Amino acid sequence: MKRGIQSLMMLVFTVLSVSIVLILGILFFWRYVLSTKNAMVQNAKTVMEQAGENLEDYLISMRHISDTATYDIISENELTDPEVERELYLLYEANSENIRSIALYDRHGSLLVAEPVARQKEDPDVTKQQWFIDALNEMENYHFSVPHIQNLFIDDTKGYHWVMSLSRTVDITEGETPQMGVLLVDMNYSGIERMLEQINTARNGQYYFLCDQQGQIIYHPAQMQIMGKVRTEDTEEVAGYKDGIYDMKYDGKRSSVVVRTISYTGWKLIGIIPNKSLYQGTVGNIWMILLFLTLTIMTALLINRFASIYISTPILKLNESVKRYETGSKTEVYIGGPPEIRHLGASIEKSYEEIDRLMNRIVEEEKERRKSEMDALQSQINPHFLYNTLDSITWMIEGEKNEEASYMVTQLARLLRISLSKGRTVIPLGDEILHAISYMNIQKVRYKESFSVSFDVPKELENYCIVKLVIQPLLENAIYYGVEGLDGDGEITVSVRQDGDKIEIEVADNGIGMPEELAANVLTDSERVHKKGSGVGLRNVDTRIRLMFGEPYGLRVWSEPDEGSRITIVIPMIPYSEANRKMLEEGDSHANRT
Amino acid sequence: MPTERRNFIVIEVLLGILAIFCAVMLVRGNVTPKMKKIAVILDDSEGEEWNALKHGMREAALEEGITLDFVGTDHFETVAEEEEVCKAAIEDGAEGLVVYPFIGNDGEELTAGSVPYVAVKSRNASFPVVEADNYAMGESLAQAILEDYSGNLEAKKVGFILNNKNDEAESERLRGIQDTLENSGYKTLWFFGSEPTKTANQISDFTEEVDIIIALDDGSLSLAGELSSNRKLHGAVVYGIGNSASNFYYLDTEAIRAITVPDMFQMGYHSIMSISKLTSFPSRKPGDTVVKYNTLRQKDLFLPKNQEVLYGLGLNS
Repeated sequence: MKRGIQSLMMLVFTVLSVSIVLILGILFFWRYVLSTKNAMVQNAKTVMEQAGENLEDYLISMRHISDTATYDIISENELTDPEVERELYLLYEANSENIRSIALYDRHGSLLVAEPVARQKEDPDVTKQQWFIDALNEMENYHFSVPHIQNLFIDDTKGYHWVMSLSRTVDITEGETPQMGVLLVDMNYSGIERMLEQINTARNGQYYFLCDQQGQIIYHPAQMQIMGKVRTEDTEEVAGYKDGIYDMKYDGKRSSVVVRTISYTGWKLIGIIPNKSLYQGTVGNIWMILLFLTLTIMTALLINRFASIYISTPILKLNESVKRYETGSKTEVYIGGPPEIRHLGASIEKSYEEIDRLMNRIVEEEKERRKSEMDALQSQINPHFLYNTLDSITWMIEGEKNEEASYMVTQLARLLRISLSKGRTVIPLGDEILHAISYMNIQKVRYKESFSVSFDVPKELENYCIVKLVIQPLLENAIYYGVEGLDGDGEITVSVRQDGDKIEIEVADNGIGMPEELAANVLTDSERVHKKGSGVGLRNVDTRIRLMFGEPYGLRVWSEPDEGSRITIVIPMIPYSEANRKMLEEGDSHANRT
Repeated sequence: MPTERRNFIVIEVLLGILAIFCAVMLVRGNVTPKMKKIAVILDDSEGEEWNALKHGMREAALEEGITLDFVGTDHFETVAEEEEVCKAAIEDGAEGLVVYPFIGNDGEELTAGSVPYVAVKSRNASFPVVEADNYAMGESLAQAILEDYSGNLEAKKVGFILNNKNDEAESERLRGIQDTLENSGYKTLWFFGSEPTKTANQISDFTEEVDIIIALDDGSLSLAGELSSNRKLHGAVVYGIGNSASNFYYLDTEAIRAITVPDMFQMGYHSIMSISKLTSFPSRKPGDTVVKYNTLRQKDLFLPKNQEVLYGLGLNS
């Protein structure tokens, strides 16, 4: 279905503006999400940097404690010196918030000294504890263990403590023989736990955890859930990553994974930012963007509509006025709207005015042409007969046949008067019959009554319109081509009858007639040279009648050799009146007929 | 009305509705949603046995966006007492209750109120329960006993300590133990339960004759462990089912020989998940949830594989 200009403009504007708004909206949202993601990741990185530094500071402080115990206390003094116990106690006291205990063992796992003083368990089996094994395996290094419950001393309060053990080998001075021992500083796990709890406050799915290089969890905000198998955490893979930011599928979810290595320990502080968490806090923003997009599209549609109406309405109005003009009604062309449409309307109006003017001119010219043609046609008939008749009159006057001359002049005068008819082309049938009678009267004298003529014209048909000078050429033909050679037996009749809404004027003769071929072409053959008369004759009459009354009317020719001819003039029954005459002469063949 | 104009109006109206919807959602998003409130009603709410349970409940509450109200209670004497407490919690705005359902002496049970209930530790006919398989725990403990005595308890006298003989959990545990020890040749000497102070005196008086003491609940085990620790059990060996830190101390110090530990952390976690589902979709009835358990001895108490058990006790300090 073809769309109107307004619908098309509306559709195009709407599609264009909605597409632009949607594309911009999507780009904006995508950009926003990307920015948010980057901001969150950078924020996580910053948090992890800070937390990592705090952890490292904490671990450094633990190492300092260990170093102090090793170098300033144990190495400096004999083990049996009470100063060792006292200084260890002071060291413990100064750091009791962060450390659970400081203990020194010999290489066989026997407790040498410990602060705070506590009953050792009966068989803690120290040599099988991981911190002890690690310390002896790598003597040059410090060793940090994963969190575990301290299994060394009896706590009469029935308390159990989660600790992280910092162990190392030390040189013990006892008597002459230096020996190797293991120094254990048990740090309160709660210190690290508190530190990492502080950065795990987000409720959008983002979290941080700490694990060792093998992926063993040191701290995780959902540690119990992992231990209770309610939740899984794939720590082994990420524990092997270098420091940086990784965009990856983690635990089945698309996430940003931030990795930071903690110095001295090789622990990994891992931050997980699921992509889903980007949207959790931004649901409100998403609704706002949707609201903005919806309102923008609504506004764009409204503006589009008004714009398309503003542009298309003048065009549609112009189109309507052109349509009205095409149906023939005289209407003003719409001139309005933007300058271009106004110009178009003005041009169309001017064009229509020009068309009207040209049409009128054509009509006028056509009228003139018809009149001229008619006049020209008519003027072809008269001169030849006039000359002959005047010759006859001259002859009569010279022969002193004054009565015949007077009769001829009278008939000629009447004939000429009717021929002129004050310049009119349409006259009453009665006058045309009189003209014909006058003509025949003149011809009978000229032809010395060598033929007879009769007129059968009902009185009631005399007052109908006819083109003048149409019967006389037929009579002329009847004389010259019909009865002239019949030696007095020639008969010419003129009869008028009504046939429906037509009038038929028949001019019949009993002359020599015409061959069929000639009769068929007599109205159309314009090249035939006529030997007598004006030479125009039937074709002239036929043309004039058709010009005046239209194509259905004109002459009908019948002729039979040696029998005669009948030429019938067919005209419409148009009563003669001044109005009808004028209408017919001005070219309206549909004059008022009754 | 021309088609095009009608279409335009329809589209504008639809977009208008969409805009209003977005605006409403935007405003709603700025309103902090009210958190669901769940009340937790336990027998002797401050008891050590519930530490791990509460730990698990808190973890689940954080995930589900729930506010927990741990109602302070003493030991219930009757079902009516607990029902009063439940009613008060509901009137205070609780949308769901997690309860340890008390059972009366005549078998009277707690009935549900106008909000959803979930039971922990012990079964109730009226609402779903989150518990360890009490019968299986009894079996496991009995197996540990059999291991220690090479399957032969001939002539051994056993005393049972329990809190409430009507309690479904304890009766199942007892049944599990008795079924497992059925052909071992032991002899049940006595049952003690209900009143801690009296029981302690009674136990102390009667343990000259008993070889093995089996405690069926945490409180009873603590009592037995304490007596054992203070050498008031005349050499009787203590086994039991429990989960509090003090019982672990007794196990660690060998005052208790073996403990079967239900995973109270998981019990608490799943109870909150269950009640959360019930309050959101009351027509959907979640089934019972069974959590795991472990049987521990002193020698493997601090093995790495058992760290999670110890972590779940909420022993962090």
